[in-house]
Amino acid sequence: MSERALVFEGVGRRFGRTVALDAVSFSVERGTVLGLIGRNGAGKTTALRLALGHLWPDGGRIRTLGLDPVTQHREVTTRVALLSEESALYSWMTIDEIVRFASALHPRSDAVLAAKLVKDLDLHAAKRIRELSRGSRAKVALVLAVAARPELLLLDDPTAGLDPLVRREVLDGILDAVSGEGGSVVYASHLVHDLERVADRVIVLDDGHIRLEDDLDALKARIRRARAVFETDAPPSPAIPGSIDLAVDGRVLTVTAEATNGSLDASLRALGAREVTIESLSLEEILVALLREGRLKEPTHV
Amino acid sequence: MFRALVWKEWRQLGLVRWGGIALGAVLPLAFLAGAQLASHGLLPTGTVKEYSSRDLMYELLPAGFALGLWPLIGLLVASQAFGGDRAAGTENFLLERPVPRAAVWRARLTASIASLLLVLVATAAVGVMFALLSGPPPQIGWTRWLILSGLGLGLALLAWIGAMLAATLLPSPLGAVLLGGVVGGVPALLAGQMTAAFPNARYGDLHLGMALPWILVPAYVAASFFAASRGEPAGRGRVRRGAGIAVGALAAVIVIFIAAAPIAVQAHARSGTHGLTASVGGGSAFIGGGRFASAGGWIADLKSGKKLRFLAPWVGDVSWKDDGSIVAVVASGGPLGSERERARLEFYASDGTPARPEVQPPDSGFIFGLAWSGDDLVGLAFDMEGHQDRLGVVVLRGGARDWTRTGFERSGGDLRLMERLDDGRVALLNFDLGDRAASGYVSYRGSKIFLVNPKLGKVEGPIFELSSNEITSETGLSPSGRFVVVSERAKEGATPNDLDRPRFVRDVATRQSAPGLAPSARAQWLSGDRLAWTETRSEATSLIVASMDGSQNVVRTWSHADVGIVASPDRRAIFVSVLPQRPKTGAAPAAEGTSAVRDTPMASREGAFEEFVYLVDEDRIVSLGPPFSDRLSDQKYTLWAGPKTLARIAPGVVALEDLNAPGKRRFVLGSESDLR
Repeated sequence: MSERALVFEGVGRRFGRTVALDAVSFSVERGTVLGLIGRNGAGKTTALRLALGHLWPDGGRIRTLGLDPVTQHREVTTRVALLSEESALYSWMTIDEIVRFASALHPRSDAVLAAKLVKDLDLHAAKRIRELSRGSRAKVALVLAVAARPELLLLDDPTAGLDPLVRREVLDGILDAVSGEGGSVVYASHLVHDLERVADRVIVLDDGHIRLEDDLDALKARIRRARAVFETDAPPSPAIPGSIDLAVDGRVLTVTAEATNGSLDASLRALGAREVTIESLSLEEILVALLREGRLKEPTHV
Repeated sequence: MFRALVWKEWRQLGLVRWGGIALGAVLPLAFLAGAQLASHGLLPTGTVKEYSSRDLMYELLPAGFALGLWPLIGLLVASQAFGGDRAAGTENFLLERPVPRAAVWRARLTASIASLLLVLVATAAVGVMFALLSGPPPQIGWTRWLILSGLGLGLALLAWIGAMLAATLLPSPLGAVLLGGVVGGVPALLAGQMTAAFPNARYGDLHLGMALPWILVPAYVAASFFAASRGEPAGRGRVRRGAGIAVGALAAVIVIFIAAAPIAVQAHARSGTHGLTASVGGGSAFIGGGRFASAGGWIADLKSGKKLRFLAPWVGDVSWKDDGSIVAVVASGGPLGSERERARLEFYASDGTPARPEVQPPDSGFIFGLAWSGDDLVGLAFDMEGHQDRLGVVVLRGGARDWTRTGFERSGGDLRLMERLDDGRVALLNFDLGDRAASGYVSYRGSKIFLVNPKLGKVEGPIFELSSNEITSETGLSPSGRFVVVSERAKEGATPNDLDRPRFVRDVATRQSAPGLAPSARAQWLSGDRLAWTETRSEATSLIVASMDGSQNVVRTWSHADVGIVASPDRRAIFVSVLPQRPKTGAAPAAEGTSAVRDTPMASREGAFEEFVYLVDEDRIVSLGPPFSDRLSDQKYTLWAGPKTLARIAPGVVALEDLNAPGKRRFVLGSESDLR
């Protein structure tokens, strides 16, 4: 059980002429949540389906829970669940029928857990899928995925398009059920706020390449924003070590930098700042700053 | 797991199932309503005679089910089962779970075939109910229903399998329905087309073209299985894999056909009993596949017994030049058992090589009944001019490519070429037939014998006329053309007539051959206008050879025997086979000459007959050892392959045996073991 939950080594996959993933390497530690960030078409879905063995790589090596998802597909799908925004559900089945049907297909399915989840998520078992709202369908998909007690849960924007309240409910349900039991989660989304709440580590994917990979806490601890107030007009282009983004507005200089609190404070005061305020950034702000600076254009391993 | 999968597939097919049954229930009513409307001229078809509801229910309804509803349900059921999930976007539900794709495929197979059969049975039951309500079954009973139901079941299964493959490959069920119809129809269409295009690619009753395309049916199933359950679950390569198997199977059908057709054609020609066409000059003979060479045949060397050339079927008339140097063959055989639209005349040398360019029949007709006269070839040509058919005598002179019409055409009745006379003219018999009566019987009104003179390109005569009470057999004219054997209908025996002194020479009681026996027991002309025949008096049968001047030689006499004779191509020898015959009543009277067998029950005397060759000029008998022919079953018999060579023929076997080495056989087809 010591192996990592997911390992990608130089994995590539094309769809015709389109390169979905280009020699991508990363790994997911057991019991952690990896956030895969990227725009639509960045390669997130491809990465998850490769991990499940639904797609086969054109090159490289994948190990999912130590298994080859191509040759050991059945074992992988037994221990891994995929939950996507477009989770396929049979519209003509009732919730009860689809839960029982899914249970019959899965040797690890936990009927008690499924029933509990149905109840907890306020779903009506007799209702047909086609009668459910989008949010309720997402909850049903969550029930089916979690009831299989996966060791690795692959989430492909499962809450996209849902209202914030339901999104939070679903996400909490996932974390409680999977992470709480020591399972691993790969959460691919373009909703950075959601991801920031749950991810231990983040990867930014763009055009099939990894642009950024880091622990979320470390990333947030390393990149900060300082607001410095000067007696007179702030210097237009000051040299600040680790600077990522600068904005001057009269006497106020706002700088985002990869630096410690102390060094950033010292650098600004050395420039003549009278007052320095340092604050942490949200993941989205960090990504925006990095994007502005152009750091995310090339593969980046921080 | 499998039960759950079948449950899911069965539920998903509910709409098609119930829709099909509902259609089956509505169809009889629609037919009845349509017939009513048509009878009142309210349909675009105009006024149609009123069908009784009984006719509709016992004739039209089963046809509607067989040709329409059932195949349609087959297409819909398979398309929905194998393509429905992909179209609805629910395919990934199963692919993302630990479900073997093979199990999913099997569940779809199970649910869809069960659904199809349920619809078939239910709609048939509804149809039968409507039929019974319309009245009792017609005179042929439920036969039409049963035949059409069988056809409908076959078509529905074909449609189902075609759509199964199409739905595995295509993302759209509607596309699968359309493609499935085409794909499912391919084996049937291919079978029909290949059988029509290659009618002779067969062994016995098994037509390769009819049998091979059905390989596609299991191939479709395999293609669907491997496309759906192998390779990347997301589907990359599915179309390539499935289509590859299906197209590969189609290619295999074609390749197997191309490889097997020539083998089958020759094997078919080898099987059964064979006919043989010999020449006076010897050297080679033509061995026909089947009695009438329609299955093709071989030019074989008499000395070595080697097959020199195979002539593909269809082969019609075959005729050797007297010297045996060239054989003319009417043939239409093409490659792989195909047939050309028109048979042409082919010429081969005795070594099997083409001797002359092919010659097409005159006009748009076909040629038959060949007879050589020196370098000229006489034939009968048949062709249609408008609605009028023409049958006339044509001549192909020397090495010419075009036929010369003699201008002689039949005047009612039929024409038949007879023997070539010593002077090179060819006897022609013109049957005078009356009109066909309502019963189908065509009356015989006598015959005329003409002579075709190839040198002049003319038909001379008639030289002899037979009344409606007289016939002449293949014995026909003597070699000089002076005598003709005539027999009275419904009477045993025949009379040679001297054409120089019309109407009488002497009575010859030639005994007619028993039906189905070979060789022919009829009288045979020999060289020098000598006649050989068998004659039975007081249960003693004699072989007699006589000259027309009155002298005769009783060669042998048997008690209670059925004697068959065949003259050699040069008419200088007679092959004789003697079959014991059960005495009619009591003990046999003493027979003249040699008594070959004694009166014992037939069962204990099977095979107890003798065979020999009588050399006429030498008045000598050549014993052939243990008899070969089996005239009881007609399965083993003897023909002349050349002037001094006999052909021993049995099913799948042709062996040559020279008169100077009786019992020593050269097998052209088959082997000694095949005779046992």
